[in-house]
Order: sequence, then structure tokens, then C-alpha cells
Amino acid sequence: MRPEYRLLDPDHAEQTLVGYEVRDCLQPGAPLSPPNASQERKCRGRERFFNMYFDVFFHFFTGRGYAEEGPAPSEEQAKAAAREWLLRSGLTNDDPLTFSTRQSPIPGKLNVLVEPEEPSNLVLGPPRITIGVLEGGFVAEAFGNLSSIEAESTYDLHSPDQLLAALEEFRGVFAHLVNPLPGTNAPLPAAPGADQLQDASATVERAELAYTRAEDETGQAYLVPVYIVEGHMTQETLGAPVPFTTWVPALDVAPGAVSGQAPNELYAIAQSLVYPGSAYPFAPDVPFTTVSDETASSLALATFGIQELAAAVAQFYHDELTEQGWQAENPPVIRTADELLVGGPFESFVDPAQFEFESVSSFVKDDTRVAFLIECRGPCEEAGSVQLYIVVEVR
Amino acid sequence: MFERILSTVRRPLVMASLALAAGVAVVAVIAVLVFLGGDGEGPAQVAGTPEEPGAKRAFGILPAPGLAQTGGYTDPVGDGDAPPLGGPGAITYELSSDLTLSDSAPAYRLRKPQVTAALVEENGRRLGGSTLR
Repeated sequence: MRPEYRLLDPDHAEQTLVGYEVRDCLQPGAPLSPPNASQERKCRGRERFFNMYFDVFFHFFTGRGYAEEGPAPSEEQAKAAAREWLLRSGLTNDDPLTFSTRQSPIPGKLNVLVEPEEPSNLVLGPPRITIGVLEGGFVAEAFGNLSSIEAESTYDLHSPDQLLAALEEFRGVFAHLVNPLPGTNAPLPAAPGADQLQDASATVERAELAYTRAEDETGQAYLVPVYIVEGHMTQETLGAPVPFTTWVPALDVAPGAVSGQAPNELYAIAQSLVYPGSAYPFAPDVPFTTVSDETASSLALATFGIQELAAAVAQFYHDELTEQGWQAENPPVIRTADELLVGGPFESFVDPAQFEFESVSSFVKDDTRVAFLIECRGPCEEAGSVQLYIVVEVR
Repeated sequence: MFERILSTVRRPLVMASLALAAGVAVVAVIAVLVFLGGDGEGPAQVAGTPEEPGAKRAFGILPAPGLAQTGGYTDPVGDGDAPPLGGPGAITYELSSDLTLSDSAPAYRLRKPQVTAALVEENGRRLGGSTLR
């Protein structure tokens, strides 16, 4: 059976997606809109799928490639299959391309990375197509985008002092220390061996020029010079320096894209908070802790499985924060949560009635607010059922 | 619960952040245009051709790559989940005395894509699909 392919109507096409393939695993007559993750899961193994966005990002998959247990294709076989598939697809032009392979955690699959020959040393979100190839050269999936270079222009790069300033501003906490080099199945650690909970001093020993894709507000894309920065860092808890690798823009760039990161000051406040008993958010004996989300002005942390009772945790924070000069707000205010839950732009994504926190409290000092949301995943009288969410935000 | 909701709204949040970023970028671009006293498009060169003197910064201030990107990781379907974010420890930096940096380097403007319904339809057909309207 040939898969049927449908274009989006103009109303939908005004968004970013131009068209996609109709799959028989969806209900007949279902609204024609971009498939979501649950639909994709439902369709796995059922039918092929292809779509393309206005920025040329495309996605093709066949439903295979999730659990292939047969032998993986050879490198040459996979590259040949990728070349043939690209030629047939018409998705690339005559620009010279490089083909390299990456192991997949799926035993029977080999991923082929297709990138332009120039410039070399592309990292992060480069123009790239990834093609997953199975035994016999079957292309199970492909996604990515490639664009030709239209023009080039020379730019002055940062001086050493500017590089140092960029590192302090953009990579001033471990949460923002990202290794830009590609890993096989997961990001390479930026500072293997370092304790991300403790402060560190880093010495930059090398700064290698590389490029990554960046797009302005009109959708115009560029390849922007960045520095891959390498060196060693020391910590009081380390017996010897450990290597680190990260990246920063190599020149002045428009300031907008920093907005996805919480400022270092909010991390410092989060790090300075005290925690009750076993609940120190970053301690290794806590079952699970994470930075749940961050924006330009807020930071949300989550700690689960606290071995204290909910009421005790709430009282602990009230006592500790007021003693430290924080002023309790009554009723509590959480700007970030308000935006997330009710009355904000994301209300349509969530059901506010789902939230049944045992306790919500907030405290302010100067221009900063810290809020604590306590939820019980089980009887609140049972230790270990308490989940703690901490929001640190600019008021 | 909250974690799930945070996860659910991560993409809209990112979009909101991008919208804010775009607003800031617009202001930045306007500032650049005013500074240049023109349309901000200097004598950009076609790739591979020699660049004329005085052609620096022909594209104006470049957009920033997403600074929160999660490394060179690529995530083919079914190959894994995004990594958790890192810890709050602060990092201070110093530069090795023998560190050398380039003075300048080219930036590249990519050809703006012309994605049309006809193109997508053609690609879909090439990949074995038939068209249903």
C-alpha cells in the first residue's frame, strides 16, 4: 500500500508545518494538524511519515528503527543507502557533502550524519541530516535540514578579555556548562569528574574556532563562529584537576537568545538555600533532584522522596526564610507558576484543577522571590511521599 | 505533578522565550540599522569569492545561537531522552597565558529556504507517497 500524502490547508500552513503524510493509524477525519508525540507513538510500526517545515527542517520515519535486533549495516552500506535516499528525496542540492557514521544504541541501526563540506567543524545545531539505516540498507528514518551558503563576511572575533567575560556570563554555573561535541547516544559530559554541586575554578587552555547555526527573527539563518573551549578545572573536593569542554559565541551577537537561561544570580540563591533534614536538593542520597525548568527570570528545582512530613517541611521553610530576612507573602505569589498554571499564556496546555499542593508559600527579599510548593504522592503523613518544588524568580 | 507540567510546557516556554528574544533582537537590529544609517547589508560576498576590503560585519550583528543548547547530541527517534540539566555550582574562569585566539573569521549567511507546498508534495512523492487532497 502506498502511503497517502496530504498538504496542510492554508490556515495551518501559515504556521510552520507545510505538509505531512496521512497515516492509517489516525482516526479517519481527524483534524489535519501536526501530529503530537502520542500520535507518533501510536503510529509506530504502522506507516511512513514525512513532513517539512518552512525552515526546511524535515522529518521522515517508517515506524522502524526503535528496536531492531538484526545486524547493523556496514558503514559503507549505510553511507551508500543514505546517498541513494538523499538523491531520491530531492532534499539536497549540488553542494559537496560529507557522510559519517555514528553508532546507535539500537543494535540493528547505524546513523549516518550528512553535513556540508564547508565550513568544517560544525557543532551544536548545524545544518545536518541524520539518516538511520537498518540491515540491507533500509532507511528507517531521516531528519534535519541543509541549506547552502549564500554569502560570507569577515567579523572581528572576541579578544581574550571578551572571551573571559562571555564564559563568566554564559557558563558561570555547571547547569550551563554544555559540551558542544557530539556524543553517540547522549551528550558528552562537559566536566567529567567534577562535582556539579560545588564551586569550581577553570583555566582555559585552548579555544578552537567552530561554527553553529543561528537564526534571526526573520528566519534568516547564519553560520556563526563559536569557540570550543577546553581546559581543566579545580575544586576543593577534587584531588587533581579535571578536564572540561564547553562553548561560547566567538563574537558579539544579538542578546536575545540568552533569555532561555536563568541568570547566575538565581542559581546562587538556590544554592544558598537551606534544606530540611534529608531534603538537600542536590545531595547524592536524595532519590531524584533536577533543575526542572528555567527562563530568563526564573528557575525551578524539584526534589522528590523527602524523608520528612509535609507540614514539617513547610514549617521549616517558614522559620528558616523569615530568620534570614525573607518576608512571607500572604497570600503566596508565584509569578512563574501563575504563568505555568492559570491565567497565563499556557493555561490551555494544563488543567489547573490537577494541582493539589499540600502547601504553597512564597517569600521575597529585594527583587527576588523564593516559593515552595509541596505535594504528597501518597498519604501526607508518610515520610518519603513529599515532593518539593522550589521556584526562584525575579519579582 | 509540577514536574510533569513543567515538562509539558517546556516547549511553549521556550517559544515564549524565543518570542521575547525575537523582540529584543528586533530592537538590536533596529539599533544596528540606525547605526549603519542604512539597511545593514554591507558588501557581503558570495561564498568562495575574495572579500573586498571594508566588508567586515556585512550582515550586521549576528543572531545568537541558543545558548542553552544541549551539546552536539542528536536524538534520532527512539534513541533516548534529553539529558537532565546540571547543578548549581558556580564556575570562575581564567585564561592560560599561552592561549591564542584568531583576530577574525568569516560568518556565513545561509540561503533562505523557499519551502512551498509544491516542493513538499514533490519530496513526498519522491519518497514513495501518493498525494491526497
